[in-house]
Amino acid sequence: MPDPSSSELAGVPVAAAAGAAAVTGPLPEDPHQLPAPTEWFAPDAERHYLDRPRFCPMCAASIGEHGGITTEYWTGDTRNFMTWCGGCGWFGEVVRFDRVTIYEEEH
Amino acid sequence: MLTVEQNNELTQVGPGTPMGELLRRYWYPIAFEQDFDGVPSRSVRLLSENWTLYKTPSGKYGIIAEQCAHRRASMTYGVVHEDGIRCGYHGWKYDFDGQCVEQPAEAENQNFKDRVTLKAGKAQTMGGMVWVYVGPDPAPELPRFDVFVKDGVRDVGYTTIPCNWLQIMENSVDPHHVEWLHGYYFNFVGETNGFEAPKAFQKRHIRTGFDEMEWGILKRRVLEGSTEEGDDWKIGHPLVFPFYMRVGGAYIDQMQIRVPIDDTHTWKLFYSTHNPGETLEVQERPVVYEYLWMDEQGRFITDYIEGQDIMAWVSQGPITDRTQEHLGRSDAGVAMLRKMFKENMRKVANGEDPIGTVRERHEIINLPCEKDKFGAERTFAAAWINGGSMRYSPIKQQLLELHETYWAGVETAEKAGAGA
Repeated sequence: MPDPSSSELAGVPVAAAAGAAAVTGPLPEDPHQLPAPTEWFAPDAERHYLDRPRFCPMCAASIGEHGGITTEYWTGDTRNFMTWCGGCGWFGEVVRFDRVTIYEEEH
Repeated sequence: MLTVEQNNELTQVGPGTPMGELLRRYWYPIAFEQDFDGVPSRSVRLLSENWTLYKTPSGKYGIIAEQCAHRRASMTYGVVHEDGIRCGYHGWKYDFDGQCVEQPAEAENQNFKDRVTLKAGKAQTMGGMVWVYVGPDPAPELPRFDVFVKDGVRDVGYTTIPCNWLQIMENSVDPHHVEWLHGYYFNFVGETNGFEAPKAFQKRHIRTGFDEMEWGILKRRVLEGSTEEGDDWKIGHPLVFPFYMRVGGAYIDQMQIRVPIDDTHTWKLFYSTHNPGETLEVQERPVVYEYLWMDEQGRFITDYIEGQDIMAWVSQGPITDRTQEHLGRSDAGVAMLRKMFKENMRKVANGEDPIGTVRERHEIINLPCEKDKFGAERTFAAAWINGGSMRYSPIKQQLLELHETYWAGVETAEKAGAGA
């Protein structure tokens, strides 16, 4: 295995590494910092952070304080929060929607 | 989307970080046996720490923190003994556990050396590679996954990629990228450059599925023209937690290995075993080769499968800014993987073994993996060898002939059977 701290970084031409670094900037240093206001997604980023479930639907433990995670993904207008509770281990989805839509299976 | 804090937790691999502590519960390949043919020791970097990996005259391997505890000279330029390694600068000697056992310039009647230790890990060989464990004792068993120990012609492609290992792992639970990156985009690159891209990767996904299993996440797919009776769904293939993906098809078995060197570098290996049922010459060691992913103009090489993947991984940046992502339903596997990392960080924090820890001696661990890949059968082996990183293998032509000889034999036998 090559040692990236030395010139022995086989397979990574210097130009390649530098070019890759130029693609995106570094992460913000402040862990609580939201994306910069000029970023295109920023206007509703805070909303997305605030809308996520903060407590387990099963045991009501705090998702954040018990090491859990909620990951949001979208299906059309529906917002799905895949949630794992570090307190009781519950794993499932919490779904936010404005309209309840039922997709009928073929019958 | 994640917060910056969550993204940092999932991507930082150094000592003392939650992910770093989790990753230190596993064995990693870190060198090839032939790397020690000319030198007894090498500098290596793993999990954001620098190490000296060494081999004694009798063939035993050891790994120790690179900087001597005395005046910080590199142990890589030390003297290797049967029972440890000695710093070249002032002769301080350390045993395999990192305990200082000699300080030649110090008085013998004091216990200074007893109070000096360096970090040290365990090292052993398997499948032609040197594997190390740098976590807490007791070390688990080195998992003998099938690809590394089964019979066959073996070759290993490697390179170092300037990005965080997690963005490569997330790619392994993202089945849809295959039909786009390796299908639609590959076809575009082919049309632009005047070659025909493999058809096997262009099929549309009808259904994808993810099951948590004892080694990680089993990934399934139904492609256009296939059904749930096909291997791609019925068997699938696993992301092997936390840094492998097992793939295969058409008598090629492959383990894709993503060794986290540090937060922004990953050693990426494709370990392949070819066994199409022919009489095979026993290899002493796998054939090792470096594959390329960037051309002289600094552009990604995207006319083969892994080059396309590397473009997608590296162009995300050294560490993907997940505060800016927009996940859709097809990214459910990505969300599931993040949950698995969080769950196992918590296990480690509670003093439990994480998923995939092996405590019992064993001969082989067979992983589920489809045989008939994408319904392509005979054409798949050639498409993979010509259209993947194996195109850089020095034995590429032999591999093509090996597989073609087998399939020609199958065809002959089928014709004979039909004639009878």
